[in-house]
Amino acid sequence: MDHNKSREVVLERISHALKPCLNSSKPKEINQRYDELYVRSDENNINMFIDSVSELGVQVFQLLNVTEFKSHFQKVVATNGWSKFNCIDASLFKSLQLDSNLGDWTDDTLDCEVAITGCEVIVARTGTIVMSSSQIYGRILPIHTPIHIIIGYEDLIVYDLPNAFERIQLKYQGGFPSALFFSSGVSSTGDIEKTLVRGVHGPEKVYVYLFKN
Amino acid sequence: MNVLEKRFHTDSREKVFDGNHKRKMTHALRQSDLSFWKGKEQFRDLSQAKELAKMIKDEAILNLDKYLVEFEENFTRNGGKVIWAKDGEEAFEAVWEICKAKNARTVVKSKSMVTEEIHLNSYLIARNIEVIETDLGEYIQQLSGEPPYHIVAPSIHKSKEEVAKLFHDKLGVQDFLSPEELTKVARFELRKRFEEADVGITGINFLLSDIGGVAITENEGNARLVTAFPKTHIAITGIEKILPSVKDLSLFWPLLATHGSGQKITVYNSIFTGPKHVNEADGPEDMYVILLDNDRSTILSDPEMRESLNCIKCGACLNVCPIYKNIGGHTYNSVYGGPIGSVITPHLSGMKNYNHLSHASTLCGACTEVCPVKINLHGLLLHNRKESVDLEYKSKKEKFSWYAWKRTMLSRKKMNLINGSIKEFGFKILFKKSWGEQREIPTFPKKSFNQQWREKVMRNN
Repeated sequence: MDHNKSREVVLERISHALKPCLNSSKPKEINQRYDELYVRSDENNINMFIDSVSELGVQVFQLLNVTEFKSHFQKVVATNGWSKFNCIDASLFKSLQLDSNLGDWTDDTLDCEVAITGCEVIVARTGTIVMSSSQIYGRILPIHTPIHIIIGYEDLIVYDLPNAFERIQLKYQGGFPSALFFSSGVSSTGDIEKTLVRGVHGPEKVYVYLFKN
Repeated sequence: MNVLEKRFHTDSREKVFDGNHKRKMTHALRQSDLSFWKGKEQFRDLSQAKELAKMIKDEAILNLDKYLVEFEENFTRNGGKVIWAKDGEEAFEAVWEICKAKNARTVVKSKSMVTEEIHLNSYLIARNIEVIETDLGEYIQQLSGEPPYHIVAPSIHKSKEEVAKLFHDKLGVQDFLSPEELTKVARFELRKRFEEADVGITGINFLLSDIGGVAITENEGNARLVTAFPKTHIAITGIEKILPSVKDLSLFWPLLATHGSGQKITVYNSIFTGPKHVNEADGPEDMYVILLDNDRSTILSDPEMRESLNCIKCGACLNVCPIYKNIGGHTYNSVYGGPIGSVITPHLSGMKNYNHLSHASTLCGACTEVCPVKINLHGLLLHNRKESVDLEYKSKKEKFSWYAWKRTMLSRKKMNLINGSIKEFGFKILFKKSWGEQREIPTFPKKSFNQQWREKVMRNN
């Protein structure tokens, strides 16, 4: 099959179909700011994020320092009986002062129960965590692991999606990573009688630990 | 009346009087409605957001060739490959060529209506490739051997008991499992399939021309896995899914989420710009985007129909449609059901065979009212009706009826000549069947209004 020929045919069909209206096809200037389309609450971005992400079934904890994190995380691990962890990011492992006695630590992407990762941008209005394939975790780990622990910092929080795209474009001026992931909440479905069920193919539980910078 | 139209009437009648179907659809669509009301609270002024979305899509469609070429340039620069397909056959041949070159045995798929449109699954299965649908609703439909019932919620017509029975029969699990347990079963069954698959096939929600990327929206995470494990990712889309810029997603993601599932934003929104980069941990080595025309350019050439290409396939018009609710998705006998399906199917699959769908409407306008990109859906149904008359696809009986109607209406004398009994007789001959067995044939006054009025005036004088 000649793909080039098909390309020409399709493009020719399109330009032929549009021919009578060439005059009206000048791009319009669209000046509307997207973030003005949504209801804006008076809360600051941090509280707004905590509210919106909690509504989506994510547990979020605001922390002052690593000591606070350590004791909290230890309790959560003990309560849930988690035993197999992946924190492939060595610098994150170190800065969180994670305890290697907490359980088994592995770099195996497929055989772990809990994945601990960072994130790139946090969107307050929609409760969205942005990650990308350029991070050390890659594509599989954050979506395949049953429990996802996300470490976030307050200065990663922006108000809405337009701000997030601005940050991302600034960060990746030389070209986007092959994949950008905007996750808002816990993997879910309504495919059986519109009943909300959480934990379909992605993580069943998501925790966000939010640090002051 | 052609075969498809006859079948449409028979199937409609069957569904309308199926109480069980009505109960399930009413429940499911009520849930959709409640979520939609909640979801739209995020908009300060929804009509303004819709107006803006329409402007963006109108402009994108009017410059479709320019944006598609821009997309191609950018995506190719990112290391991806673009394949153009005139029709379904070219699209699945392209998929087959890739599968052959990769020695692929197993394909995992995330939700894609375009692949339903071109019947890709049966084509690949006939070539000994195992195809596994991974969206829960699509998985349920694949297990039961049925096409999707709704463009967003494929198994909307099945009760939880029916799904439990299906899983019991097909997968050998215990019967009477709850939705939570059934979801766990699907998760377990599909996990290994993602890991083993050679090729991942996805649909596309938005083609982003400025960055040469594709945006995929989902709630389950299956599309994320389909695009993470297999070494090859093929994304298939109709050419109309174009957006000029990645920034437009700030409007289109919330708009799609609210209208599709009543959320502020769907759980997983991903943007793919190409295959894995050298320094990235994992991901496909090759990524292909197949741009499918399949008669969309014909729709494009009709200035009135053109706006139907703005559709973002949110399914909101199906949810509010009294016809869809009563006759269900399969009765349309078309990949795209509901109002948008009735509008585009005659153009994609032939006006001659599908013009009856233009009449599958009460013209109540609920579809037009709800559409996030303001497609004049019920207006376009009228447009299709006109076209099918212009093309002379109507029966001789109908043509004659209109002829007789017109002749009569143009003459006062003829109108008065036809008294009540003749009207009743004529009505029975022409409309008894379409009037419906459940309704009584109306009785007509013996004299016309004109005659009655004259008599009244004479009396009073």
